Amino acid sequence: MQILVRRSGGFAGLTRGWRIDTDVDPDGWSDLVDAVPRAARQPVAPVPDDYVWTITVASTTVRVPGRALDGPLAALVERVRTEGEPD
Amino acid sequence: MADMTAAPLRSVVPPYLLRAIADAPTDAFPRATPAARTALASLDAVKAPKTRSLRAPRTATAPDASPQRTIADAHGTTTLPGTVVRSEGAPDTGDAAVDEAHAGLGATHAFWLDVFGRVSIDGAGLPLDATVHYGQDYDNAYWDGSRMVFGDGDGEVFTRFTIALDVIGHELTHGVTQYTADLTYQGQSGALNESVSDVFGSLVAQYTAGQTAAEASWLIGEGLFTPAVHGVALRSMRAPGTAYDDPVLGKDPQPATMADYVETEDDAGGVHTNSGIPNHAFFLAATAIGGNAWEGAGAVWWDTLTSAEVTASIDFAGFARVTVSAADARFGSGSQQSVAVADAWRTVGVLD
Repeated sequence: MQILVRRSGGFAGLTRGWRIDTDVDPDGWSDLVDAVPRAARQPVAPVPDDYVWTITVASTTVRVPGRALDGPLAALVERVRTEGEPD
Repeated sequence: MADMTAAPLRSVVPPYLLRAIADAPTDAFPRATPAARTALASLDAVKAPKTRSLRAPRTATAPDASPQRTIADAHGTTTLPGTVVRSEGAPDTGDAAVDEAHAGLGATHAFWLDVFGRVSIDGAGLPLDATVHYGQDYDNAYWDGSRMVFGDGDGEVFTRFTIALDVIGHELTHGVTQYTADLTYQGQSGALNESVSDVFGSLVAQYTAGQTAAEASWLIGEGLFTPAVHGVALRSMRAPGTAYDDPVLGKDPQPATMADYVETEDDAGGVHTNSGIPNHAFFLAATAIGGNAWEGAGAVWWDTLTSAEVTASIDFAGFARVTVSAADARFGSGSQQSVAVADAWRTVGVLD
């Protein structure tokens, strides 16, 4: 499946994206994806000039302010940025 | 109907005399200068800001008019606030980010106090807090609702974000907006929020450097890019869309007029992109009026930001109409300033 990570906002207002096809390592990626909490957390209010992360895993998209990107979701994003291709 | 005129005269000593004392060299009148600044600030404190839940309660005594700066170090983590490394009145530490944040907060505080009589971000002496060395290769700075947060950049594309005074002024202006118009950070109201921060961030830098509108660069974030980047700044109010054109970063996407307004889901509806339009309107008005930008267009924009007619969800056209009314009220209907403001918004396609 495809994972897309998009970072927009920030003081500079630059948008960057990364994508990966998890078929290259299905088991490794499934652990990472499964660790992401499914239940919606308390929304964190966006603050001016923070980044906006838009993360799409298969057909599910979430939007998270930079301040709230932590834990398993941050680990997933980090791996996509490191191993994926610019989108 | 909001009162958009200057605060009614309540001082026995006329404001122009208070200002002369307030602006004197620091060793000329060691007691009178701070006293004059406090007196000037109190003239504006009586002009009631718009009611917002975050506004500090009015107290019987005048607010502390010193910057009350505290700089903390996050040591490369994303944990806030970090450890305090420099308090108000403490000497330079030798850490560039710490010392630049300290100086920039002070310069911004002085601008708001001297130019508009506003005592800190909330008008009630809110202490100024900043955290530096946030994150790893963090190419950003932001206002989190109560403090400024600065990254060090990655060293390849961006340098440290404390290096540019207009960046510091921009972030603190988000706080001022939060306590006044509270423009919703989405769509056109969000682009206005961004533009107001670029406008007053630029004015802080121009005021501190003693530049007139004609002398100013009207660039945002000069010095943030490393020499490796093909660009002069992050944004240009003078010529939106021309600040950078780089093989890796791409081209500056800002429009100068409504004809090129960008519809997007990114960046809360392109708030950092479409801010180019009101930015350009401010540049046009300020340079047409001439002199110091903070005294002409800056005063009009300040009256607008504090006007009850500017709601949190206002759009470009609504904001523009209030700026024209504000210019009429401050400088007179049909004044050179009013004409300049109206012409600016017509040129960028916001008003007919």
